[in-house]
Amino acid sequence: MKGSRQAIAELLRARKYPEVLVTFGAHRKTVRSLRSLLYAEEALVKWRAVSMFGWLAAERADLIAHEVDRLIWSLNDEAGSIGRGAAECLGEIGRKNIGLVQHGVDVVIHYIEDPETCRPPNRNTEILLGVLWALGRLGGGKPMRVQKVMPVLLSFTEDPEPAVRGHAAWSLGQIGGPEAKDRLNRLTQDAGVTLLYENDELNEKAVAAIAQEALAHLNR
Amino acid sequence: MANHKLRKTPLLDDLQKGPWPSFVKDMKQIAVRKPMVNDLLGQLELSYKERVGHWKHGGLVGVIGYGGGVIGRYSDAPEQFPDVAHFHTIRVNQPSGWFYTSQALRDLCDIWEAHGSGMTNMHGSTGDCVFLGTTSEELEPIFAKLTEKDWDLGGSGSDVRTPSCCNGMARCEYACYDTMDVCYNITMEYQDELHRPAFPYKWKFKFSGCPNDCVASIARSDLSVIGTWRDDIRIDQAAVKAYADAGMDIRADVTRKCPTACMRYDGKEIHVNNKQCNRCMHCINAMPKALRPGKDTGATILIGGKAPIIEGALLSSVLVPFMKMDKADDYQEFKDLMERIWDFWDDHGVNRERIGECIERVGLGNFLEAIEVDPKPEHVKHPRTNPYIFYEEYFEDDGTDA
Ligand code: HEM
Ligand code: HEM
Ligand code: SF4
Ligand code: SF4
Repeated sequence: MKGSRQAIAELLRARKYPEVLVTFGAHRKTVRSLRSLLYAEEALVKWRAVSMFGWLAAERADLIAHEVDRLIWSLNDEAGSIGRGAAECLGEIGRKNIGLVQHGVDVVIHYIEDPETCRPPNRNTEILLGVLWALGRLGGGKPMRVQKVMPVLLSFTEDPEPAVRGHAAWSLGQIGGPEAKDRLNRLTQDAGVTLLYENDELNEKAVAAIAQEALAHLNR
Repeated sequence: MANHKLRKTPLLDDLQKGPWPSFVKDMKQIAVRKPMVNDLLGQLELSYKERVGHWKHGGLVGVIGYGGGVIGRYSDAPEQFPDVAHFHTIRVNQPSGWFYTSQALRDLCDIWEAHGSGMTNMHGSTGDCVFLGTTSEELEPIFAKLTEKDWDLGGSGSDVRTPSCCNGMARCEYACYDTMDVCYNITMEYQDELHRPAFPYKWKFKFSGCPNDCVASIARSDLSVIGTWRDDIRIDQAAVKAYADAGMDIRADVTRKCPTACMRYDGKEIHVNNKQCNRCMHCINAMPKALRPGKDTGATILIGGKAPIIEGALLSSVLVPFMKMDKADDYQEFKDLMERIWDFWDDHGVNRERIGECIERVGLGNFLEAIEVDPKPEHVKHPRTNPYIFYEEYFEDDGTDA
């Protein structure tokens, strides 16, 4: 697996998802390499691995059927793993093929309901951002899926960390609804900045801009 | 000299009264300069008083780029013991065979003194050099300083755990293969699997040079590699005589203790029926100057050992009776086998199920077929006397007769 990891990363940077399977084979080992790329230091590679999981969910669900259980477990592992990218993958897989992640949705929701994992001082902010993003993907177009977590989600728009506010805003923009709009209106002057993965690209963005775009999208 | 008020620990103090050196004494020495250890003592005292633990379930912490190596621990009474609100463990990948220079040890201690509790565990059962107790903010600085000195983190979570080995050929004439080289080679080959968890659960490799199994690989690893030989035990009859002349009762202490009764001492020389020898090492350990492992050496590969967690404890059992462990070939035969096993585990493993449990669930026969290993008598307990073994050839022969 040593050499292939770098080569797969190269293909992901170029967004050549089908080529990954063509070059490295449509088997589990390739999927394992993708899992390991969720830990990549380069944030874009991690996010593209997430997108590739979504692509697989749509095109080759057979290859990732087991992967969903692994991802769910890695969000709860007590033996010293971090489930980096796991929530994002569950969100992306669910967006493309909801049948694959039925109980995964509840695990993602539960993560955000637990103050232990999501509030200072003990939270892991990167994992939390992934969960917020995943809720946006899961709820986008299908708000019912994440309806029960709306009150908690809304509360993150008042978080002290700009990245958390930005991701909550983005997520609300995807899900929509009157309360979402109300909160988004309050963020249109927010001076904070965050890195955000959107439409397969990773960009630095002001929280205010995220809120404004979300409102424009919802009001369309 | 302490700026902080030292905790009163009447119950822990009791532990210092016993005959053995106490960890309480060690911790008190550090508590004077480290508030974290002071609060650790305080929290432990509370646990002794209330008879409940005060650590919370692990949290998700780590360093960028890695999914393992740091184990998050938090106090459930941070108001009372603020200095152990975080108490994360860091696993540092130990050198093969645990050989350090004193300079290397100083480097490690300096890093830990500056960024953590100052308490270490040299070494953990997993093999790592374990740093006990630090905060989330210190993780990246520690990692940066470790890597600057060419150290790396070990494994934790659902990944390849830090492989470990006996000191083998570095110090021990029994070593049947170069454990330190294999351990290093495998550690480097599987860096990705070690640092970025993608398995159903943990995977532990341990390498022992001979069946004495000094790293207890059979009990402590999913994949145990234990040195062995397939030719004859080497016997130096002159040295046998020297043992006898020195007063050793060879029959009572050596040959009659052979578990397979395959040795004989005729008053002058030792004779071994090597076909029956199961390489238990007893005779060799008893008379190291007279008896030695053979020359055609390699290793037995065993699979499935684990401590109790979901199912009970398992010892590893034989998968490949003899593998050459060929350095010139970069241990390719061994690596190919691992890849096949991991593919199988990936397909059939359930979260939190070790490979040993997985094999029990799907059945050894199915497992062997999937990883392309032929069934062998060594896979069975007491193959020669086990009434449940039927050989396929036996049925075929029987058919033509009837
Ligand atoms: C919530 C609290 C804790 C839990 C659930 C926990 C659990 C565990 C488990 C399951 C292992 C075995 C790991 C393995 O070999 O796979 C382990 C190892 C260990 N733990 Fe903890 N632990 C906790 C807190 C602590 C604390 C507070 C200390 C020390 C003050 C500590 C010291 C150690 C040591 C020294 C090892 C051995 C590491 C090794 O063998 O490599 N642990 N712990
Ligand atoms: C006298 C008490 C105990 C001792 C001496 C002990 C010792 C150990 C050791 C040495 C290991 C590491 C095995 C390795 O090298 O891979 C281990 C692993 C572990 N221990 Fe314990 N342990 C004790 C009690 C417990 C208890 C009460 C629990 C939980 C209720 C526990 C949970 C675990 C777990 C989950 C592991 C990891 C399992 C594995 O890697 O297979 N231990 N323990
Ligand atoms: S396992 Fe065997 S080779 Fe390794 S140190 Fe122990 S006795 Fe020596
Ligand atoms: S190694 Fe053990 S089984 Fe073999 S001859 Fe010696 S005592 Fe007997």
